[in-house]
Amino acid sequence: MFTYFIISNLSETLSPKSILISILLFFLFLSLNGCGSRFPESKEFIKSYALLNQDSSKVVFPNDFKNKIVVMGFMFTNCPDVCPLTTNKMRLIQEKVKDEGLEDIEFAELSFDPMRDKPWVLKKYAEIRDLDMHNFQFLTGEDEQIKSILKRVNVVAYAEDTTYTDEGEPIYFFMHTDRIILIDREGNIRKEYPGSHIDINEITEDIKHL
Amino acid sequence: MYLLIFVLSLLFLQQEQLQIENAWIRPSSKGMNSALYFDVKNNGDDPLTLYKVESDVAKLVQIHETYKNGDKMGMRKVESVTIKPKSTFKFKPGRHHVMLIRVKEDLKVGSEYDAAFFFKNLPEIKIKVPVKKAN
Repeated sequence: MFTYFIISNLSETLSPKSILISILLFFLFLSLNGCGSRFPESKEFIKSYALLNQDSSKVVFPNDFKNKIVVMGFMFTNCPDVCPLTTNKMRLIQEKVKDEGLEDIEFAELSFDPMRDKPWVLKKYAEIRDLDMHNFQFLTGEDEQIKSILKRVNVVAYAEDTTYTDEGEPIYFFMHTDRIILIDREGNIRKEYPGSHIDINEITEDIKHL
Repeated sequence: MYLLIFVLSLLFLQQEQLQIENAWIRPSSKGMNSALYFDVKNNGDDPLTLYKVESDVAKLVQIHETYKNGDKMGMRKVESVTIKPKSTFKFKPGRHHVMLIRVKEDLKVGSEYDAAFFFKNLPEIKIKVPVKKAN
């Protein structure tokens, strides 16, 4: 009603062409705002990080992923419960985007336990799960590099629950943020999700809008 | 003879009172950790307490609980789990699970391993548990 009132009054002073352009601009503004609200943030990594993947190949993150959309999770291989859930969710997202014909998407999981998660450990973790590795990498690196990335993406991880084998070997587990993030083609973090119970459909739709 | 009948009766009653169903183990590589999940169905009128699980597949076998603390997830060992009468308790991903610590071989999809479940005041229950890929 309000819109009609404005238009009917404006039509007395403006030409039909001007009114039509105004209406089109109004709806364009609305649609752009709709896209913007899907992604509540856009955060740069600011610097690059020197990492290794499961094949012990050097990875410069996020530079090596430029022009690709990245779905990124965080895990440690000694985790028996939550992290395998996150890895499985990433596998499901990978399958769904493939089924929907979406291209230029990479998957990466960063270990926040670089002391134990050496490249060959990550490789075994991937192999035993029979993951499709053509666009999936597991990343590790120097402790300082890992800590720096975690700080940038607001992921917290610290050793907590510890148990001991009969031989006295301590086995510790992490309390950690449960997170998957979505990174756009320019290397900006655009959205965060709960890692182990992410909505596959939600992130797939978000990927389509990047 | 009477002892045999007694033991058989106990086993029969136990089977009626509780069932362990849908058990599975996550794939894992030798030396790492895995988790065993299952449902405990208590058909009886009394609570059941699971206090131990054993399996030769791992160096250590412990009952654990995954818990949430804000947006963080952690795990802690629990000494026992009580299952209410006439209910099913699910040991499932993201919740209670039996942690298999330092598995002794690669746990590959399709293989099976023995597990024994110990409930208070009941004989142990032994089953074979398959390794399965998560859905």
